[in-house]
Amino acid sequence: MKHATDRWSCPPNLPTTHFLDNRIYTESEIFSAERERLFTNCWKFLCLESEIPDIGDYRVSELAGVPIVTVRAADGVHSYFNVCPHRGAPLVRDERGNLARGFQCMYHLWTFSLKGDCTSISRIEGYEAAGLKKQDVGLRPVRTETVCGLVFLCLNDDVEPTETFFGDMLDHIKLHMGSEELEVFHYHRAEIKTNWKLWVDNNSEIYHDFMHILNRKTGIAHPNYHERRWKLYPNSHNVILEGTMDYESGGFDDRDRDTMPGIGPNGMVIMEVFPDVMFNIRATAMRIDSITPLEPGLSLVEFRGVGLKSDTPEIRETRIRHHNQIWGPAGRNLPEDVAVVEAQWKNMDRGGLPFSIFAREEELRPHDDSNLRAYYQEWGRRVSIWPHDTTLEYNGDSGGVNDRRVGPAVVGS
Amino acid sequence: MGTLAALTTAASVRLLLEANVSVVLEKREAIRSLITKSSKLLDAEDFEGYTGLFTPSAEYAIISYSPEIGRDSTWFRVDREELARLMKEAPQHIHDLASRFHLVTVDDVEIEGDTARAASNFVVIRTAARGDSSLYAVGEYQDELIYIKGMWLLSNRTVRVHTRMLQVPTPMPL
Repeated sequence: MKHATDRWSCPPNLPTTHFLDNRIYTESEIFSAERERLFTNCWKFLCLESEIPDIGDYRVSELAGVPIVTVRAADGVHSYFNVCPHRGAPLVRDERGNLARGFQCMYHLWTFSLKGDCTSISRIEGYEAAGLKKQDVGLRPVRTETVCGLVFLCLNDDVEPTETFFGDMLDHIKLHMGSEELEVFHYHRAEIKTNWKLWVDNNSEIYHDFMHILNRKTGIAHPNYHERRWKLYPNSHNVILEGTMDYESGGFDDRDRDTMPGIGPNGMVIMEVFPDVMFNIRATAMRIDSITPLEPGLSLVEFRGVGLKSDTPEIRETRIRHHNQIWGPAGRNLPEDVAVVEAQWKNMDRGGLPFSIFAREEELRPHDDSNLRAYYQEWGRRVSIWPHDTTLEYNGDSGGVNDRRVGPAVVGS
Repeated sequence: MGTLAALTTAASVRLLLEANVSVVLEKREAIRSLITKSSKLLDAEDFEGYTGLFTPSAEYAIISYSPEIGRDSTWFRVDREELARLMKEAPQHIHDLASRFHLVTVDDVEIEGDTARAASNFVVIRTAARGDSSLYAVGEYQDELIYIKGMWLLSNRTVRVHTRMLQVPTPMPL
């Protein structure tokens, strides 16, 4: 009895890359460190370019807790803090809209161009004595780049460009998203009572297909499901290479026509872009997940269903139907995923399980945990915390670790 | 005599009108009752009873407007067969253990011969296993009905949900 209790509370007898200290999911201090060190310094997916097709079209978002507005101008897509430089009122209040005439703050009616310049200040003569001019009060820009019709943002001006950040992962993104214009046909969001990384884990960990009856019937039961391989890239962008699903075994129609670019009949590919984006293509439909962490135990997940802008009404109808069979708030799999990640987090937050195990090694086959191990090493490097022991400061490059709570004393590696 | 005939005709017309009104009211009441029954059957998880309220060729859809993309998002659109299959499979899925309770108001019924349209509003209260209740969903039923073999059946139900972030997502009808 005591042996079992001790084993439960001690780190597993595994390599340190093969388990996690679950405090990475629950501690407020770590959540703050993620905002400061990870989300401030990483490219973050916002939306598809086709969601803001016309000049003046805008979308709002939040990045590392900062409110952002992204708008299409004549020379491309720009992003700014959604904050008036005068007194901090929001520039726009709707989720999306059009600003053909530029921004106008609701509070004192200052106006700004789509390029962020202040274009008028109400009764500007009142500022003459203090010497304040329009050119002193432009909007705070946020780095914005587009890749294959996808809009990415970054708060840090010194971070590498997206092309370098994605590296060879870009080939996969181009294959599936670079040849034809994509269009969102489904959007919904959910505030899931879990840590944001548990949603990433769920999206990345194919071993949990056992939970989904649909995936058991159409995937696991068939040998070719197991022949796929993970491909891991620097910065922990990962892709599970194409395999085929047997939809008929689950009682569904084949997905053998009008497949998305770069994917064959009944094919399935999942691309994980660090730190939080999933592109999941099931032959005829694509799902994109992106996450905004709100609290250690609360995550806003945005779900998009994506087809091609060139779809005929009949093809679009099929894509929507295939999307909704599995995904969407009324799909077969999504409710199951939400149920499990919420229950997981509750148990971890209550101290029910101190460590998580990621120890499967299967030569990069689907149920191998290599992608998750790579993810958490990258997470540790960026957040400067060892994922297997959150009391230790990540110091991987020099080979040592420091107790991050008490100072720099080396306690081993 | 002429006055008597006129009175008799007026009385007949009145009787006819009353009978007609009575028939219309009876039909409306039957439709109201069907819509209320549909939500009671869902709450009781009597899925066979629920799908039995639809015609064999009926369609069921849940749709919400997504302001983020400026268009409707269809959560699902299925025929009766697929609806029955979804509900039959539900216990095999990891599913919400809470109970649900519908409150429905049938606001408008328009009858035209053997077909009808009805518009209703609903709220769903969710009671978790530990006993706490919360508002789960708000929306509208847009129903089309048909009178077959002495009873009204749903030939189309479109559920327009106003609640776009469900506390717990579900493949079950609302």
